[in-house]
Amino acid sequence: MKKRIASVTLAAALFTSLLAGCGGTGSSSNSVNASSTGASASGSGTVSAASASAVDTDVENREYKDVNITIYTRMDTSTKKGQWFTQMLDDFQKEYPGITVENIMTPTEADYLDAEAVMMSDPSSMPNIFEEYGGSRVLDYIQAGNIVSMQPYFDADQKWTSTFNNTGWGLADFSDYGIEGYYGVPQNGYFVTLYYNEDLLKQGGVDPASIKSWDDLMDACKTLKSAGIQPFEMGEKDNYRFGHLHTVLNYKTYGCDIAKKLGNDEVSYDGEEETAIYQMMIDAYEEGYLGTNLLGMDDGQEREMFNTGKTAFLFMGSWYASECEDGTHELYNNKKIHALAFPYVNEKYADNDMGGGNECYYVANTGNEDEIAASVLLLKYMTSVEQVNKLLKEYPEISCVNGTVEMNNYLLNEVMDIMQNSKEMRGDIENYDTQQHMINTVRNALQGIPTGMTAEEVGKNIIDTSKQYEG
Amino acid sequence: MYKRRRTGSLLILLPGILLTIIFVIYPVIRTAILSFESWNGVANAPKHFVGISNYISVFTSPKFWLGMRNSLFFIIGGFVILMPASFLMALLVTSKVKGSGFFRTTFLIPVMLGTTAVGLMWTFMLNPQFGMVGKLAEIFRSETVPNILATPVQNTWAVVLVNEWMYAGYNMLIFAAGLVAIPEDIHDACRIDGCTGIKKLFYVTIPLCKNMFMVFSVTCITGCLKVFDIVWAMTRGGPMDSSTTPAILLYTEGFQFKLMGRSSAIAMILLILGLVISVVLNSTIFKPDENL
Repeated sequence: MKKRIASVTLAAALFTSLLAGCGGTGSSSNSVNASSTGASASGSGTVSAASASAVDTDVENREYKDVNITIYTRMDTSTKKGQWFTQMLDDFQKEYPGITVENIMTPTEADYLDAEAVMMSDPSSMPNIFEEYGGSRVLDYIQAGNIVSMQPYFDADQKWTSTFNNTGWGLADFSDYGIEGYYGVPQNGYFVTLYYNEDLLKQGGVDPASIKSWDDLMDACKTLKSAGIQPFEMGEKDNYRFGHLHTVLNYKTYGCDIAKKLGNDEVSYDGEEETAIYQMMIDAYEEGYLGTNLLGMDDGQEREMFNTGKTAFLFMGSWYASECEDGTHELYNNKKIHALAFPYVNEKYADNDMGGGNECYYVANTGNEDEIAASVLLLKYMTSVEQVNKLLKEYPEISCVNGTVEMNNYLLNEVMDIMQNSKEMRGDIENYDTQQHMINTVRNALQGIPTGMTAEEVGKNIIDTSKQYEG
Repeated sequence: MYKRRRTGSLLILLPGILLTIIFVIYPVIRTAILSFESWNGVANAPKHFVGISNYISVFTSPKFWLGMRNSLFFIIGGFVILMPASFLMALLVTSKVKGSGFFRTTFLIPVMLGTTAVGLMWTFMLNPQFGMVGKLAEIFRSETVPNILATPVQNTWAVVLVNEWMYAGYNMLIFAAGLVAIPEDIHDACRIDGCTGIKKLFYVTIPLCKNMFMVFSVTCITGCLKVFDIVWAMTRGGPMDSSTTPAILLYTEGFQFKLMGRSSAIAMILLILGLVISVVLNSTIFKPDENL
């Protein structure tokens, strides 16, 4: 019997092996030499950027010998951007032979974020450079002293700093949380718009110029539906889809300030304001405008339906316009797709939009000065005007660095024209909450809409779940 | 002489003991400690002792009980569908019927495909728009096409069935090992005594395969409690956690919600539950029969 218990104990013990490797060793001690790297962590979580004088910012003229760094990104080598990235890394290593870069790529967002959480849970597994979207996730890393402040490097190289525009600084700025200085290098931005298929709208008798407000859009959907044309096919299997719709509807109804109000509990997720937003989504869903198989379709399939002329509208960020550049997209090649400003709900907030910085790169504070310097050098190389020009030629996108080449993507140019009229932009509404779980909690609850939940139930679900996660 | 032999034995066992301590015992102890702490899963972030509050949070979480219910569905499916199916398949492949070799290979194909491939394949097949379900609905001119993987309860049972489909071949091997181990003399004795067909199956074959049923039961229950991969590949535990399992919760609480302490508490609960159920099964239902 003893033997049996022992063997069963061992077998069952394997259940728990997964977690224990992630603990790291330091519970309260921080082994990283913060002063030499530009960030210092304290138990209270306040972080201050070190002065430029304490950090060797001359990364270009440093001697590198057998320095190995890792970069963890969402790049995909099947895209033109991924190909540019791989080439850029090769060029960098040729120019700096003392540095070897290990390139880890996970294109799918959910898998990327999960793997990032695993890597960032232990000092020995942290990648030297990784891609993130700012907000409370990165805040946790900064508060633990795991991110290098880029401020000394920006201060020391004004020529490089001046090449950045204002699109992406929000991802590197944590001043709202009492943390000074920039902690990341923004790479690209995005802007959420409404794309439409010119032929399908014409066929359904809808004039795109008439779509200004949410009600106009609902009327257009009704007309299209009665003509046998499916307006949207949202891929809510990837729950960021309703997450984005919820965000943009909030900004277009209450203005971008609503993000802060929700974040500091001035407005509640089960309050009147938010319930009205859920109800708008429910009404559109129940009419069949948003899709016919929302939970059975992911965002890739959603795009494919639009690309193949099966749906009239696509609500998505500007990255969609960039992706069209791959040359295989018939509707795009024939200039049959165009962009519209996302319709306002309250006209007062017609110029409030979802957008801003999209991808930002952060340098992990590994405590190794050579690795940190090499990582900063790689980011400076990657965001140099020369490299950005190469990228924009191949893959036009909203860049955080001012390129000097003309972009020939007509659709992206339309999006950028709309963006010019925007007065205020914000990213995912849940990221303004100090509770890091909020993005998952809200997106998860919004998935309840296609399962038949009422607006009140969605709000209650968010609040009930939040209570379970209150620290 | 005895002392030298004992030292030799210990030296031979040492690598195994060390590996077990490093990869099994130590992680379990670390997890147990972490389950009493609060930690956001970020390297260098402080950990705080919080007593049993992680366990209280788990036991008062509706998500955990939903996950346990879904694990129960897996266990029910395992005993009601998988066990009889695997045993019948084992009877077929160990019999002398023509084509048993073909069946042996065919039954093993699903388990050789790999969980992710199986999960994706069935996800596409069950898609109401462009999958097998959609096509069938089209053939039968059904107006509504069920979206099985998006409907709570249905989605869990769909994953349970796919799981049984995948693992039937693997469990067939367990039962087949038991069946071929029954001595030929016993079969001959049965034949002489006139015990054949169903009678032989229930009074001779099944009792003599008791150990195999025990192995199946323990692996089925512990496997169902910690089922993760097939659910993750097909539904990621969604929509709205409707198809979640404790193991998925363990992962999401830890790496998405950054609640490593709570995640560890789930791991410890699963460990203890797996232990208790295994010991109870071994000492009651599968207690060695001294008459055999």
